[in-house]
Amino acid sequence: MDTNISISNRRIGVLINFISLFLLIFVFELINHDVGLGLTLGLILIGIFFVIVIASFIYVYGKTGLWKLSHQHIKLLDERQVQVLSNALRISYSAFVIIVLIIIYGYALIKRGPIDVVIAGALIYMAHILPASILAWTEKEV
Amino acid sequence: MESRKLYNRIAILRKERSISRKDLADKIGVNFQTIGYLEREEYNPSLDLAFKISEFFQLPIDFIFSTTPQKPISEELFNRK
Repeated sequence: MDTNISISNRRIGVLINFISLFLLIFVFELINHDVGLGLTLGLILIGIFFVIVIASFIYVYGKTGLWKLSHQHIKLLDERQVQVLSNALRISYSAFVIIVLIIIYGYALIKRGPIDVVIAGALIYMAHILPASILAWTEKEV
Repeated sequence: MESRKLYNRIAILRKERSISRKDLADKIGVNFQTIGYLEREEYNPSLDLAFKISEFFQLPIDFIFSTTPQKPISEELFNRK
């Protein structure tokens, strides 16, 4: 990991990333269900949130090397890194399964059929950033 | 499973020999941040890593690592005389 970003800044970055991702999906759903938000305003908001997601991703996961660490081959990690990454993967697996099941169950309950493409995309993104997010949140030194 | 905290003298031995964390990390094959975690006693090394550190400093493993807080080296040497 290359850049030293304090743990509090990393935590703020993780929160910004997740909140802006959630808001992006929320605005998309508002546009999708035509609940009064104009298309132009909606697209502008989606654009803004998308930029925030990308910027916070670069700041928290890119510059710190946490993205690289969480996708590194196990043979290239030392024993402590293997230990913390295994723990992060274990927690993120549990969290991801719960999130996916709640979303699928929620969609089934309100009879809307399969989840839409934006939520599916967000889930794919989340599956990849969850381990790095846990590392960003817990690691004292990166 | 909660393991016991291991105390060590890595920081003082490294400073005594004017070796950077990066150099020590390269010599024993770990990431330099792992040296920081070891020095702050926030991570217990495996037996293999403990032996590598012991071999690097050419000191007995029980001189570097301990399950009880370690006395300063000077005090330990003085008491032995």
